[in-house]
Amino acid sequence: MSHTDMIDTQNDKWILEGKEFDSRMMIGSALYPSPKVMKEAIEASGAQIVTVSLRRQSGGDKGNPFWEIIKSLGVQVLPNTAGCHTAQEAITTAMMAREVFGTNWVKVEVIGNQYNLQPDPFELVEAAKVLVKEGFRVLPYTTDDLVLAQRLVDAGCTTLMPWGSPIGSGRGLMNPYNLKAIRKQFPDLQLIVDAGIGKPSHAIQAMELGYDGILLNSAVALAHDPVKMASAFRHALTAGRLGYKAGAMQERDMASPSTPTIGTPFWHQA
Amino acid sequence: MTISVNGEKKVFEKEQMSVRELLDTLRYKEGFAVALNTTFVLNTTYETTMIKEGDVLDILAPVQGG
Repeated sequence: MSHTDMIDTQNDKWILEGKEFDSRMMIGSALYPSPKVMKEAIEASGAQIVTVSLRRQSGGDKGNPFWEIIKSLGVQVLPNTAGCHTAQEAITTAMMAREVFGTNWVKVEVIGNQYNLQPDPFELVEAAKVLVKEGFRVLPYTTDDLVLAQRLVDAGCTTLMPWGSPIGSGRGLMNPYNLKAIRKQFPDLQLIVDAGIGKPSHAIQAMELGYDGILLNSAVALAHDPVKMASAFRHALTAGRLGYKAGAMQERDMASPSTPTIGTPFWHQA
Repeated sequence: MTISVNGEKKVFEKEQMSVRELLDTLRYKEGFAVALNTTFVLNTTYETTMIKEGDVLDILAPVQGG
């Protein structure tokens, strides 16, 4: 990384929900081949925000090696409400997560369709309203619907996390037009593409659209080499962010030579 | 009384007991949260929240998530 790049990224701290971060990546903790790979991948990603969840614990005195690893990383944890299908389920899960994880941050996820795991917009807004009033920092996993985005803002959300494509699909940004529209309509919100990122190029695309961050999991955890892929995403986010800040050239329909035409020698002079 | 804990049926001789008594009996110590009949139970109310016949408890702990 050149000196200029370092200055750019150092002056580009990410302020999210009142906290400052060097990395614009949120990374999931699921689906890795082993706890060791999970830890190494999270470290290689540079991410300072890690998503976690809650599930039934069968025994009382077994300890929790997973949670010990996450705590040892010193990251901001972002508990999710994965698996919830109603606002009430999400609200109860968020309250349990706040007590267990010691944070008022919550990724609110209320699934409305089992086929594509699409968020239920009605239940999501209801959950967001209640949780904001209860003092939570609500980061809603949402579709890329502009009206829904407004409803979530009205509920008190200052960060939105629209999907790129369905969870775990790795299909990238299905509808860049909608994502652009949300960016344009809400210039002051923190916007994060959550779900569907499969390759570093998808992350670059999202950052070039002016999104503030990326949340991913499967793309790293299911890569052949998760640690290397985590590093690739780290570079991708930097590239995409710098590209956005640099301002891309306007697209043109016609070709335009980049080499000067004045002084062209003997070609085409027959 | 017969209650459900994390989806499993459990039978106790007592007619009722506090959430704290149940957690101690099942040897839960730390790193979990409790819901009684799908309502969150704040950990400062474990002693005063009573469990009775037919109640459904969920005891949740940290796991991997995306």
